[in-house]
Amino acid sequence: MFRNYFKTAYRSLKKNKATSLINVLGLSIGISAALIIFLIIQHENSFGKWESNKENIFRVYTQWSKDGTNPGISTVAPKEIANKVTGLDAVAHFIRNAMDDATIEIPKTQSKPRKVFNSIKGVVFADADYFNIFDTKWIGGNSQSLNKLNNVVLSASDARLFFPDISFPNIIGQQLIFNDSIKTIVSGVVADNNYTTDFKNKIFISLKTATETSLINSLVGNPLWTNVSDASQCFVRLHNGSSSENVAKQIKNIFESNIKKEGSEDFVNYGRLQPLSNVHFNTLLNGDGAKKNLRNIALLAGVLILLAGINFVNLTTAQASLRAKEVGVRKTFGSDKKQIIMQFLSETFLLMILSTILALLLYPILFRLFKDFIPEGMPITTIFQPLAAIYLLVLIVVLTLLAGIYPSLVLSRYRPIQALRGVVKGNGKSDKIWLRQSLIVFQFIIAQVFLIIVFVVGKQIHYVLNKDMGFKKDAIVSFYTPDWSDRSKYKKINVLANEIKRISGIKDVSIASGTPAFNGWNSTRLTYSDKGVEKEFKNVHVRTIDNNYLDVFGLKMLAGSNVKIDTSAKIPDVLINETLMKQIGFASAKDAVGNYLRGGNADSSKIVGVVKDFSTMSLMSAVQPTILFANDFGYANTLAFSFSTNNPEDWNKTIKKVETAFNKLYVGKTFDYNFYDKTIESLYQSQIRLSTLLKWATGLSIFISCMGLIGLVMFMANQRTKEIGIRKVLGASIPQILRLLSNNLIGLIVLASVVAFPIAWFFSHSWLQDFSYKTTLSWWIFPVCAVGMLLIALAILWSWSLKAAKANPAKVLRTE
Amino acid sequence: MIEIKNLNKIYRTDEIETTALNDISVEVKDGEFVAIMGPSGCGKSTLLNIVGLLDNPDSGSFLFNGQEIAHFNERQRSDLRKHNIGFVFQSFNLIDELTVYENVELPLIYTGVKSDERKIRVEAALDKMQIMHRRNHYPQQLSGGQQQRVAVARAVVNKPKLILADEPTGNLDSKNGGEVMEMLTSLNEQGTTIVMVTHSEHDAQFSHRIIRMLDGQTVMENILI
Repeated sequence: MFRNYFKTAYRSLKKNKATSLINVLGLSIGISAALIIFLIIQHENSFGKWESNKENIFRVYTQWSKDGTNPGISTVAPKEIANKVTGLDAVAHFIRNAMDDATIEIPKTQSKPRKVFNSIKGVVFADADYFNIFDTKWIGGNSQSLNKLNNVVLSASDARLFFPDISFPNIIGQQLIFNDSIKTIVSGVVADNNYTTDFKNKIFISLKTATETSLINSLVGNPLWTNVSDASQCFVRLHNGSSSENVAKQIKNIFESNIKKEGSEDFVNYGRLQPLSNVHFNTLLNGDGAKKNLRNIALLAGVLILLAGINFVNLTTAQASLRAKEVGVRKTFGSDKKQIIMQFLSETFLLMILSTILALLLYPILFRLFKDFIPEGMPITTIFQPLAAIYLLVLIVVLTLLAGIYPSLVLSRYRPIQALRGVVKGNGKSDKIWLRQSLIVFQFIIAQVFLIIVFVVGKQIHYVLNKDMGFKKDAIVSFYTPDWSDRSKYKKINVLANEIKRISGIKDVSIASGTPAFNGWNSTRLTYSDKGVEKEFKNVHVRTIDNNYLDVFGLKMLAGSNVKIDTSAKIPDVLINETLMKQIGFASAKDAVGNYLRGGNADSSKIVGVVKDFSTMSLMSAVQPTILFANDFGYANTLAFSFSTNNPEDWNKTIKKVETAFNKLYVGKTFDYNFYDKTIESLYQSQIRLSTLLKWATGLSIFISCMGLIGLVMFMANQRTKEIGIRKVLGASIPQILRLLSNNLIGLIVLASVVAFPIAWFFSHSWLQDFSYKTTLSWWIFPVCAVGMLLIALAILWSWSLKAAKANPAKVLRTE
Repeated sequence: MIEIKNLNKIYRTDEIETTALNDISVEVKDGEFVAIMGPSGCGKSTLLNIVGLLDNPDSGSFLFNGQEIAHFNERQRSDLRKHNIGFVFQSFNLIDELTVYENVELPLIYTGVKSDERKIRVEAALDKMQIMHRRNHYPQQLSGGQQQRVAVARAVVNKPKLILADEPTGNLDSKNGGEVMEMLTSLNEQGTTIVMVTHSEHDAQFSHRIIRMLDGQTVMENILI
């Protein structure tokens, strides 16, 4: 029986090549997208699933206000938690991102020369309990070695890299020097972990190496209960059966009593527990896997499949009348309804299988299209896993049922006599046509909504990239210097700045803690004493600058003068922006000058000038109150310079010279520079990504909808061959025939546009609410998009109807 | 075999009501060959469809092998039909996507005959209709006469007790038409009951009895010997 079903199905698909192609093409795009989203979701869900006892593992993070959290924890907390909290089996503490770009040296021995490895990633400072929480296979040594100062444990791949000709047992005891300053001895080698994890740690320096020296201060700041860095990570494993609420309560108590001891009672700050399974997804705590992104692509995949499914239902029901005779014959010779349904479902199933095969061929292409949304560390080969095959099979069955059931029911309901006579419902004009029309309208609503949103998103991105943010962003280059451990007043960055100043083609050079706006957050608390009343200002944005900063970035002074760099001054100069000036309550810029503020890096600082407002963040946020401290060379590691010419070719030559100067000073470090306008662009990375994804979504949905339109036009033209012939004999012109064939569909597309307008307006409007500065949602976008869509549809309708309209009526009528 | 008494069938559209069968009574005995004749629209095809269990009457009685079936549902009719009745149509009604062999095989699949048995029976039917050499061709590759032979093979492959033929020679030239009539006669001689609707007096002469219809009623019966 099934052989017979599939045989007929195969031949029928072959016979209706155009329709089959339209269906297969549309469905394959949808299935391919659905496959990729499945693989992404599966990848994202695989985080935090590999550790044994995973349900007992929690991260301790910091809650520092009602909504404010930090994934890190004070560096003094873990030890106290380990000592005082009951119900815990292990408390691991590690400092991540300590050396993103480490230089590792193997010192010269009697037999071997000195070797240096640059840009080594995955270096952390960790204690022995790290390996009690994150499962590890030991090749040599043991975790206890991390309890000693200056020990280091290597992953097998790095051990091989550093010591290619020494066996693993003999690597233990070898010396490694990190960043010219930290001397360590290899005390263990562990197998690389090949599972998905948020912590790509590969080289483990014993934590004591940092905590028992002053190193910890330059890594994550002073060891205070109120000082939190996201680099300082603490994980605990609960004893089997102990309650997480109880542990959380104990941890909170420890924080409260210690913060009190430190005398910062007003500071709300305590540790909370986050389950390991949640670490990857919670974006507020810096998890990588943003569930919202996943939902967006899942939605897109769903929409594409839906559109392709609509094509299938539309074309199959439109052509149902052509299959009527077959149904009639089958029923006459004994087939019942169920068998007819099964037969057409088999046909749908076969079509889905073909679409899936094509989807697999399209997979590498779509994988590239979605690359911005594909998580780092998810290879294209993820597809080779049994679960993917099972998923596709389930998808095929579900799609077969969803798309196939309605057309099958329509066909199976045909009564044999009518079917054999060719008088069946669904033949041309009938009551079923409203459904087809509604589905077309629905498809074009989706396409139209996408088109308008793409337009609005594009307009907004253009707007924010071109809006004046209060500073210059063209022809400026900035980069970070690797001065992480150098706190001396005359560190290398200063030497480099002087070198750069001498290079021809450079206009100004500035050393600062950051560019005016960057992808991050740097804020402080300030107090101002207003006639004896202390006023406090939280979250004031901070930059430390030198006296060239205003020139390089074109910031404008409203009153007062630029900061003076005086390293011996006890009270540093500061500039404030207009917003802060107004918040403090100065009547004018002139009034502000000469007053004193407390907070930030200095006990007291003097306002020497007021600058015009500028954005310290993307234009999603309003201008923030901002203070600019005169650089005391302690916190600045951003170097920015502007060019003296407008010729990009000269710029490249100048940058080469800067790079040479950089390399001379920072041997083995990477010169990673950015044009400032590109840095600004990167503030809108997620919006630009969304825009790219939407463009593809729009393109594909218009493509799939238009394919459906082509199928219907072809079918209609065939159905009405005789009518067209007679009309032509009676004198109808080709344009009149075209109008006859397309009028109805044009009406549907216009209707779809009208319905799409409020929906598109709603989504565009709510998306724009994320921005403090937004483009206008101009009325003309709507008709322009509608006309665009109509033109596309008309081009398709007319080009496919033309053949029918041009046919020789004599020939057509003779065939009839 | 067939006993129809006071049968009525009315077709209704929004505005028009057409009486297709008007209180008609017909009887067909086992092994008979009956021809139904009459002008277009007289109700002969409607009668054939009801006899063939493709349609239900509005009122009246229909006994098939002594069983009242006038109010059978679709499933019951389908079941009775596939085991007892074979059809031959004027326009052949072969499925374009299936080969000659597969078209003939179709009724056997629906009655659940095993594959080995099917092969024997299909080949026998094709042999009998002298169309075996075309078994792997598709309908559109055959002449009208050949197509109707395939249709007859399909009608007989399930060894039905009754064959209903709706103008079986209507689309054929006289030579091919003659051949089809001879096949039907031969089947009848082997015991199959045949009811045939026709416009052709010539074809009607092959039957035992001619029922003449007008406006949904029988107006005359001719018994031929």
